Amino acid sequence: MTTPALAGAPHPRRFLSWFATAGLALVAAFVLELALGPVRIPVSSVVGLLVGSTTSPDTWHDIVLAFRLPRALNALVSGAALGASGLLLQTLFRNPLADPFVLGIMHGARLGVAVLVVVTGVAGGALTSRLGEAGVLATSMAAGAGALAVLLLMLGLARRVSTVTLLISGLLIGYVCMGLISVLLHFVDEVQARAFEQWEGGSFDGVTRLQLLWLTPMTVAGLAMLMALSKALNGLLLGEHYAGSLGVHVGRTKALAFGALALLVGPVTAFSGPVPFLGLVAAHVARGGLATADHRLLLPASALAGAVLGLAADVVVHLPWNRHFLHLDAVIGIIGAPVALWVLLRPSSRHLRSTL
Amino acid sequence: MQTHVLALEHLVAGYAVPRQPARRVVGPVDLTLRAGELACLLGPNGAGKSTLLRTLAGMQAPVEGAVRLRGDDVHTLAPRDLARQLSVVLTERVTAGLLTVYELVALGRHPYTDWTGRLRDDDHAVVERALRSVGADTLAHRLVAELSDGERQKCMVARALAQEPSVMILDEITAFLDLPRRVEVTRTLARLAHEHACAILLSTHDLELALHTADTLWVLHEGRILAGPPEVLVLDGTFEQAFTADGLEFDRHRGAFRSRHRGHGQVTVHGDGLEARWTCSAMERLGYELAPDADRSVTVMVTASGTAWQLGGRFGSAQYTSLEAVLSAIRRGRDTDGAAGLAAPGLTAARSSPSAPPGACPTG
Repeated sequence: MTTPALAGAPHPRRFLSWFATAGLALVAAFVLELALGPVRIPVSSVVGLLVGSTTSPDTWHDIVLAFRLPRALNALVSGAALGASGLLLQTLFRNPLADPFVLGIMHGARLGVAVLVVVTGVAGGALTSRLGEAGVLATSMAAGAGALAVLLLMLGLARRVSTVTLLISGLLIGYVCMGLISVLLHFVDEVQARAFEQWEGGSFDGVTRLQLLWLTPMTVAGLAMLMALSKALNGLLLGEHYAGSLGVHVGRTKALAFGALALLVGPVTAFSGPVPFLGLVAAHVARGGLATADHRLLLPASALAGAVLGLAADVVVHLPWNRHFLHLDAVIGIIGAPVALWVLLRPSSRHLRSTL
Repeated sequence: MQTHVLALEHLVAGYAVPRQPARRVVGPVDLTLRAGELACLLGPNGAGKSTLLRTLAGMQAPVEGAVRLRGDDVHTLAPRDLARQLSVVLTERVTAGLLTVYELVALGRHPYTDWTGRLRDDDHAVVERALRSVGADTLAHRLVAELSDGERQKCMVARALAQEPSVMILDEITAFLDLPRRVEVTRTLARLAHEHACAILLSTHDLELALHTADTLWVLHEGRILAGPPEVLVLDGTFEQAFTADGLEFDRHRGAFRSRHRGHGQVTVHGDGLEARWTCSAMERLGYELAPDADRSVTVMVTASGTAWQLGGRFGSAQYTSLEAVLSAIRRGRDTDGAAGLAAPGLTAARSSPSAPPGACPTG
């Protein structure tokens, strides 16, 4: 059989150059993240330290490997997890503005952790250090459960309300979760409450080696599950009825996707707090660059874009400013909110606005 | 070719209601669909057309009975096996951004590809054939979101074809199209049914189009389905019975609907050809019933200088050179002499003999 004249696979070269560019950006952001900060360390030394050279001063060794490397790895892995989650939610909700933060899912995850903190009586970092692995696992699972609860609630709502109303509902549910967290924290003593409030806003700082050891495999597992589901997710682009008529096990696919989402969003929120808009922006960067709707390409691309964005935003946060004034929320918000507005206001989204 | 690809066995379609007996919307029905035929499902709004179609497509469990696809129960087949034999096009709008037409149609190959969804050469060949079958091959690289309603429906049909089904079920896919597009899509479906030897069931509101295109009609009336070739259903009165609604009745002679409000009396139209046919139509629209030897008359004459209309009887005697002038003259006359026309005694008499041919009006 000859090569089909209309052949679908449209722009392999475009895909290749996009992934190559994003990969280079990832490496650059990663090295910058290790090099920049109150103490500037030359890139050559950073690379040297990473490959095990011992010629740099001991303080540099500690700053790069003990302090900045965990943060960089956290930004990379968490960014990838959130990027893939953003794409998944946009497909599941058939809503281009869906994102774990916008839909209130990250607040649900935090509420899950707050419930755990109150029930066990030990807060945030204290829980981790006191209970070790069990603590890390328990907070991840509590966050995952909270995320799932809000996800299911939002899916129930999505049947009843229009695209934009759903986003407002997500905002409101986020506020309800935050309110409940405040109420819950009244029941624990002040020291523990303060420990919890430390990740009031999102931040990739302060992640422990143990947390990274759990975060990474859970994210990899979540991404692998989604890659295995990418064919079914392509079917879901047409909606659940059509997907079912194409032979997709809709119920099974959704259940697995929910599980993957809990794996991706739960640990990230448990360790780094609610990072806004990263998933939303990453998914649109991937879509805009690749100009395709195919999840087999978009899923790895969204994860890659999320990792680059997470690292880049964290680099900006930790630039050697005179006064430390920029938080992760602020940096991502400055990029994320305009992207969300653009998605809403571009001409091809007319149907989103008209359903108000 | 196997006959009877789809069989409805004592099927009752409806909804399960919590703590109550299920709501039975359609049935019980015993019917079959043959390979190579286009069947149109007709019925008023709310009669349960969509419920029935969803039940046939395996998307909704039946209240009673079964739907068999080449002998297998549609509701127990694995989704993938069902998708290889049955495809659907629904009313819901597809809004997937960045999906090209080619990718959309290629989704129809889902039940045949491996878990990665990779298309092989023969999959590409099927997709291209499907695109050509509906005349959408020039749209292949366009984005679905940018298509017009008609183009998008064509592509959705191509996607359904790419599943290489033995049954295609389409729910009111022509509803949002203009008349030429509706005719085109319906004709295409009839051709596809014959070419691909699959059975196509299309629900539609377009009775006259269905009457002229479908191989079989399923007329849904008060929970029952009356099925048969269109002409048979017209002749045995099924059509009239199912669709005679307030102020509208089905004209068996012309195979079309017409208004029943004819309060202005009778008129006879003399003449042949297209002008006479549309003069008849205009008289009916103005509220006159066509009858032979009525007390009003219009004679359509073809003269050397063109067509002329001669009014007679109670219209008074006058000649006009355009139908528009005839109509405004009749309206003017009615305004000044309205009472006489409205109280026309001929009305009830004419109603009692519906078998009378409609005046001298040429049909078709």
